[in-house]
Amino acid sequence: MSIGRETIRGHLETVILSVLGSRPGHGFEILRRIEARGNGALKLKEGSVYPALYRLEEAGNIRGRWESESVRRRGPRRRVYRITSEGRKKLATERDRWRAFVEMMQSLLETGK
Amino acid sequence: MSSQEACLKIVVETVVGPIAASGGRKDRMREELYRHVLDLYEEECARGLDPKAALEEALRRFGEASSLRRELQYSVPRIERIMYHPLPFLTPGARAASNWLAGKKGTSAVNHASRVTVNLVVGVTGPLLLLVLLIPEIRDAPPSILRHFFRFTDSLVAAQFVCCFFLVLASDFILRLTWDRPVPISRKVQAWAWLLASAVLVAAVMAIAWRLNHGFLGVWREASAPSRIVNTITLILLPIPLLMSIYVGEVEKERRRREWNDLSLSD
Repeated sequence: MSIGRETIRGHLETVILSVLGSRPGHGFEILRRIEARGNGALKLKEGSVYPALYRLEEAGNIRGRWESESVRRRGPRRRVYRITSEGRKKLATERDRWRAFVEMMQSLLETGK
Repeated sequence: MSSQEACLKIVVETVVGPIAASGGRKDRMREELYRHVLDLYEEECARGLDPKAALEEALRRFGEASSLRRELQYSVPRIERIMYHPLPFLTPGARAASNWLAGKKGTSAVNHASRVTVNLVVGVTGPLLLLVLLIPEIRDAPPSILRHFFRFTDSLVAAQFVCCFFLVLASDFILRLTWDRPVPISRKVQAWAWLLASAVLVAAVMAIAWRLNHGFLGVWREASAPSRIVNTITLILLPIPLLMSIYVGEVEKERRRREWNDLSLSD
């Protein structure tokens, strides 16, 4: 079952924080990891990750740094993002909120009760 | 650069160019988005698509330019959005000013600084002289008052000349140092370097003016009312070289961005 960007809208920042929670990454890599974790069901426009990254960086939940000279390829650089302590707190809060939401929806949608 | 890479750059510029944000933020967006769309294109080429098909698929996956631009615009902090929002009636004038003030490719920093300084001094001294002719209290003032006024104005014009020339030169120098480095100096360091250069120059000029003219305040106190008004106006005009060098620095950065794009985009 394919899940469109409208469904994920509003949760993309949490998804990005979750991906960065395991290890840092740049925009291209973040999207690949999201697709892998979503088993290919999540379809996002590639450019849409950057507005979310910039909002998270403004809020202090992640910090970006240009890749170092030693790994630099030809052409433009990649910006690698890592989660901050504020970001981890926000991720924990959002995870709890999401679990509570899922439990509530399961309870509402269960038949025969 | 291949034609596909040029096309990708044009698409990125279509997305980022109209966004109301500071130059530094837009530069970052340009570089990241271009890197991403280039990675997409290389991924599609690696799947065996020909360059044209790979380009189309990369752009399709990248997303529609207008909606991405809207989302990127919302990610810019509100104050910055307001500050950098283009005012329609200023834009044509700003374009003309930027063409006039920007450095020309192949010309030296000294040439650029000289051109801006001469334009500034003429632009400021002209209205001042006009003021002398228009205000009767000044025009008809006794020669001793006029001497005060011209002595003050001379040193002020000289101060502006020196300030502007060296500030534009410093701005160009800092830009050349930071722009062309493989690892750019951070913007904080750039800003502090510029502020330090400005403070040293302004202090030096004020010290010279003090020696030559017994200080701006001394002349202001001695002068009678009409020349005091004009002296006050010219004191207010003193920050112009500082503002001008900031503006020239921004204009020069914009010119270099266009060079980076290798594009002649019409505004």
